[in-house]
Amino acid sequence: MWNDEACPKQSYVPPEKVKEISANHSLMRRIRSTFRMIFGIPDYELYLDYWHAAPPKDEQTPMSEKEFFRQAIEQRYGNGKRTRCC
Amino acid sequence: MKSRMFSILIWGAISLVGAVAWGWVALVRGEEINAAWLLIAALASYAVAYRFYSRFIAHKIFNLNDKRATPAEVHNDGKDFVPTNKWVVFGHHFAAIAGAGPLVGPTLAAQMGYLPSTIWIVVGVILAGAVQDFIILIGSMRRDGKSLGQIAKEEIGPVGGLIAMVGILAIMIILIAVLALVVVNALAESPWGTFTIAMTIPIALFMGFYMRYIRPGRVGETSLIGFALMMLALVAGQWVAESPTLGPMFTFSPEALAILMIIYGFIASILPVWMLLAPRDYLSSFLKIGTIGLLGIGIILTLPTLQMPAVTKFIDGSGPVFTGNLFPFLFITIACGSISGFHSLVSSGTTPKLIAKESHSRAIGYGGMLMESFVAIMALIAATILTPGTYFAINSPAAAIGTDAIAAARTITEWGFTVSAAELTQLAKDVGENSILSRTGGAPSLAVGMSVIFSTILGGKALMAFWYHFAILFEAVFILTTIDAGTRVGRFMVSELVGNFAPKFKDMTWLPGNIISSAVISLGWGYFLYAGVIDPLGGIKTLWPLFGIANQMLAAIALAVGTTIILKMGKKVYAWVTLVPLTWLLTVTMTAAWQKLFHPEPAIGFLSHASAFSKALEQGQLPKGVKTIEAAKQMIFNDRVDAIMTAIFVGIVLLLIIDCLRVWISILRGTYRGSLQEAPFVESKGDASIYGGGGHSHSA
Repeated sequence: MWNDEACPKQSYVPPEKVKEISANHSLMRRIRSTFRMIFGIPDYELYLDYWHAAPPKDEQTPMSEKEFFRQAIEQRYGNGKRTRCC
Repeated sequence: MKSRMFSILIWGAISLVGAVAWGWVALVRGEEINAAWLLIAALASYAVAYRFYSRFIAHKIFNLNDKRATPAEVHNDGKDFVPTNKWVVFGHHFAAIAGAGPLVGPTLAAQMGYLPSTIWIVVGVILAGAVQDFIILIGSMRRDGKSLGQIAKEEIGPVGGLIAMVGILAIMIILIAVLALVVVNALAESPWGTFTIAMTIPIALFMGFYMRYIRPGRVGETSLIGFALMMLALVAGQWVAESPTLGPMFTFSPEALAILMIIYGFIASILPVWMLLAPRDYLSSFLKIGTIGLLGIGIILTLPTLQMPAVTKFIDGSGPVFTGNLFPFLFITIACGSISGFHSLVSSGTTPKLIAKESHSRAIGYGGMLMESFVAIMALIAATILTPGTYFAINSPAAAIGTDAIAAARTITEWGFTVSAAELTQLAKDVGENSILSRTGGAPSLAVGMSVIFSTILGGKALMAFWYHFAILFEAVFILTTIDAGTRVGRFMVSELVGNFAPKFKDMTWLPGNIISSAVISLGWGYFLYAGVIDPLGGIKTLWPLFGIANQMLAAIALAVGTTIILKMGKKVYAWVTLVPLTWLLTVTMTAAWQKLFHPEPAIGFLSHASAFSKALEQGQLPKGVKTIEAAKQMIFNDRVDAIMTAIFVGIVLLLIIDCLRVWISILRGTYRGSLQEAPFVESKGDASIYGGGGHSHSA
C-alpha cells in the first residue's frame, strides 16, 4: 500500500544490541515507553535508538520527530487493517 | 517437595473458596445476595482455569518453547515487530479487545436474572473464549504474525480464506449498526448527552491539529488537554440542557440522530486519520482503561447488593428486552465476555508481533480474555444492583410498557416487579434526564448502575446526574471510535473486493474510489441502523441477536482454524479442546439462526413477523405500533433483509466447516498431502524484550 514506500523499512536489530540499548535507559524513560507501548503511541526515542543501532542503508539522517510521528500515525491507522473489538 | 505441598494446599484452598462462592450464588434464594460472592466465584474459577487448563494447552498441545524465537525477535525492527515485556503486551492486548461488547451483552441478559449469565460468562470464557484467543495467538505467533484470514487460507485452502473474508465484512456491518443504535438510544431526546458527544468531534479535531503541528508526538499531553475539554463539555451539557434556547437545538429524535450518525461515519472514513481517528482512538483508550478501573474499584469499595432475582420468569422466552428462550438466546446475547469471534482478529493482529517469548502468550492470550470476562461480570453487577422494576423500565421498548411513567409502572408491576411511577420520575430527575423509559441498548441502564456506584463513593445524589452523563460519554466515545475505525476498515475491504473487478479501486489514494467505498459501507450499516430506529419493537431486539449470531459464527470460524492446526500438528487426542467449544457454538448459533428465520412466534422469527404484518395489511389493518402503511411495508422488507443476512451467516459458516471437514478427514485417514504452514524454527538468543529485563517465562 502507499505508505509502505513512504516509510523505509527499519533494519533488523539483534538481541545483543537491544540489551545494550535498554541498559542505558533511565527509570523515567522505561515508564514513558511502557505507557506508550500499552496504548500504541509511536515511540520516537525508541526509533532513534534503533536507527543508531542499525542505520538503514539509504538514509543519511534519522527522521525528525514531526516526520516520524506523521508516518507512524499513517501506518498505524491508515491501512485500514486496524481492527478492534466491539 | 515442600513447595509442592504448599502449592497443593493453596490451590485446594482457592478451589474450596470458589466452590463455596458458587454454591452461595447458585443456591441462596429469598434473600438478596452481595456482589462480593459473584466476584469471588468468578475470580477463583479464573485462577484455577489459568493455573491448570491454560498450562495444559500451553504444554501438552503446543509445547510452548522459549528456545524458539518469536516473530518479534526474528524481525525486530522497533516498529511493527518489537519484543516487549509480558505485562506491557498484556495491557496492549486488553486495551485492544475490551470495548462496549462485554458491557452491553450482560446488561441485556440480566433480564433472565444474574445466575444464568454468570454461569455462561465464567464457564464460557474458560472453555471457549480464552481458548480461542490463546490458540489463535499461538497460531499467528508461529506464523510471523499472520492474520486469521491468511492462516485460514494457508492451513485450510483458498476457498476457506475467501469465505472468512466475506464473513468478516458482513459481521463488521452488523457490528457497527448495532453499536450505533446503542448510542442513538442513549442520546435521543437527551440534550445534555447529545451536546457532550457532539463536542467530542471539535475536541478530537483540535487534538489532531495539536498533535500534528503544535506538539508533534505528544499524545499523552494532548489527551490530557482533550480530557479536560471533555469534562468541561460534560459540565456545560447540563447548562445547555437547561437553557430554553440551546436545549431544543440539541434535542433530536432517534431518526435524526441516526442520519447524523451515518453522515458522521461517512465523513470520518474519508478524513485523514491524523485529524479525527487517531486522537479519538487514543483518548478513548485512556478513557476505557480508566473507567473500567474506576468501575472495578467502585464495586469493590461499595460491595453492592444485587436486587435482581437469581432467575426471572423471562427464561421462558417472553422477556421484554430480547425475546427467545434461555437456550439458545442467552448464549447469543452474551458474546464478548464469554467468547467473541472478533478477538481472533486482534489475536492475529498487532499482539503476536510484540511477544518476546513463546511462554508469554499464555498470560496474554488466555489471561487477557479472563480479564475481559471479569469486565463482563462487573457490567452484570452494575445492571443487577438496580431494582428489577427500574431495570425493566429502562430496557423495555415502548411497545411493551407504554410511553408514560404511570403506564410503565403499572405494566412492570403486573409482571411481578413492583415499581411506582414516582420512583421512575424521581430517578429520571436524579440523573438529569426528562425520562428514562425505554432507553434500550444497555448503555443507559449501565450508566444508571455506574452512577449509583460512583455517587455512593463521591458526591451522593448531587453528583448522580454528572456520573450518569460521564458514563454515557465514556460509552459513546469508544463506540464512536469503533464506528470511525470500523467504517474505515470496511471501506478498505470494499475497495479490495471491488478492486478484483475494477482495478482502479485497489489504489487507496484514489479519491472517487474512497468516496464510493465509504458511501457503500456507511449506507450498509446505516440501513440496518435506520431500520432498527424505526422498529416499533425496539431495534435492539432485532439487531443484537443478529450481531451475537454473527460474532459467534466468527468464533466458530476461528475455532475451526484452531482445530485444523491441532490436527495438522498430529495432536488429534487433544482436538477436543477446540472441538468441544466449536460444537457448542455451532449448536447455539444454528439453533438461534433457525429460530430467527422460521420460529412461528412473530416476536422471534423474522419471516413469521413479516407474514404477520402482511396478513394484517391484507385485512386492511395496521399492525400494532405502526403508524402508516408505508412504514409497515418497510418493516416487512427489513424483516426479509434480516432473514437473508442470517441465512448468509449460516451459509458462510457451513461452507467453511465443510471445507475444514474435508481437510480433517483426510488428515485422520492419513491421506492428507499438505503440511503445517508454520514459520521455520529459529533458535532464540535470549530475552530480547527491551523493557522488563530477564526471562519472564516462569509464570504460575
